[in-house]
Amino acid sequence: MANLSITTLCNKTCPYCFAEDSRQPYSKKGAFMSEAVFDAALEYLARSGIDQVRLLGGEPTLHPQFNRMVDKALERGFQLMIFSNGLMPPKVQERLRRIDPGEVVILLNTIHPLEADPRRMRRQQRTMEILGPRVMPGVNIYSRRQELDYLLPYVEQYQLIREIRLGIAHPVLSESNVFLHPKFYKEIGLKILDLLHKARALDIELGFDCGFVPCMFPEAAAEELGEMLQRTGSCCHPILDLLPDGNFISCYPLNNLLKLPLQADTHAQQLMETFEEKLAPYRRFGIYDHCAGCPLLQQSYCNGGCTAFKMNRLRHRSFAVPIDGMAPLLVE
Amino acid sequence: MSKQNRHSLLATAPSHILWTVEHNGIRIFNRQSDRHYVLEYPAAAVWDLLIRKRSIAQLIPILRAIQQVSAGEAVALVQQCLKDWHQQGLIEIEEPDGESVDHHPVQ
Repeated sequence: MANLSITTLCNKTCPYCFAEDSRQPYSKKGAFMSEAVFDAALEYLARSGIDQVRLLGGEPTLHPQFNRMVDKALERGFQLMIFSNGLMPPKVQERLRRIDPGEVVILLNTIHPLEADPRRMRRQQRTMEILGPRVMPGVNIYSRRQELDYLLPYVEQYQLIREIRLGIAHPVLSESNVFLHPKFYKEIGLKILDLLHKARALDIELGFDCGFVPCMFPEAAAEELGEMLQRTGSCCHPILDLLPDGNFISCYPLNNLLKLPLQADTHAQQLMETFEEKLAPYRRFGIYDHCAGCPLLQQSYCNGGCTAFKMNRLRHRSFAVPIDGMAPLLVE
Repeated sequence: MSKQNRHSLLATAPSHILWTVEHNGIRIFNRQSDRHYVLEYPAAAVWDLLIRKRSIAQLIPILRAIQQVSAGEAVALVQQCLKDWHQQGLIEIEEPDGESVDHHPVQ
């Protein structure tokens, strides 16, 4: 897996945006991935045996060469996944509409009713109407107040892909974004379970992004959740996001941890190993203060949730305590 | 200033030492070596009090109360903690002017 972040520009200002740290250093001019970097990225994907091009941003459809990038990817036989907010230019809608639904998935990050943005919601719904079976609806959960049922009618009304993608808003290392604190995970777990019941009754599946943990769901639901539960616990791993300037990061929230350049011989497996090595010290504890003693962590059934949150749990507070009165502390 | 002058020495936590409170103690992470340490009670209490800027003089009676030990035993506990942490690189012993006196093991 590897995501190509082709632009840092966006036409929304989501309070939870976890691309925030990675967007900061770019001027408007430097906000777009060049064609040369994009071509090199396609080479890298092919070399790594990856058959899917995943375009994200910012809002990737704002890249002036977006349609051309889509053409190039399809000509080389890649599947396409596009992470979009659906507020895309008409010429992009038209290009995507001409792609066979089997070749493209547009993961549409829906505007939650809590955002109270009816104008943009209507634009999103228009995109769903036009692109229908190419669209998988999703939502990022950043508040305990978010209800999730509003997604189900979209699937029916616009004949979307029958899967809903759920994500949790995680903190970036600078903690400059709004995120869902793990103390609310159990509350959200109940809402997800409720959504699951309603979705399954309509033959709709749920999919989880990274950072969910098994203990956010009631133990009694373990059988019902089945394999989904195990996938939730094990899915904090390097995603490999390629930034517009040609540098890889592990994932958006960990933008400040380590950057590795895309080179002529870069291979996804090698990148993954390097990032995993960097993350390994953070596998021994979790997002909660009781994670380290949890059998699920010890048995690697769960890796303790979002690494960015774990890293933010670690603090430095200096102290300088005079050690007067201690028995001889130094020896010659 | 002599390094043997005990009144001139400070115990400090270097900037690469990070920590967090866990269910069973305090987890300390050395960002330079990527090593973890879990301080269990009562060492965790000593660390916590030092982080809260308590002086040794303030720390001893607190430890006496929570550990039900004599003043001498409380002093010995603090000494042992400082010795262990210094050897593990979790703290530095330095003079007030900032000069490190590392590599001098605590007795």
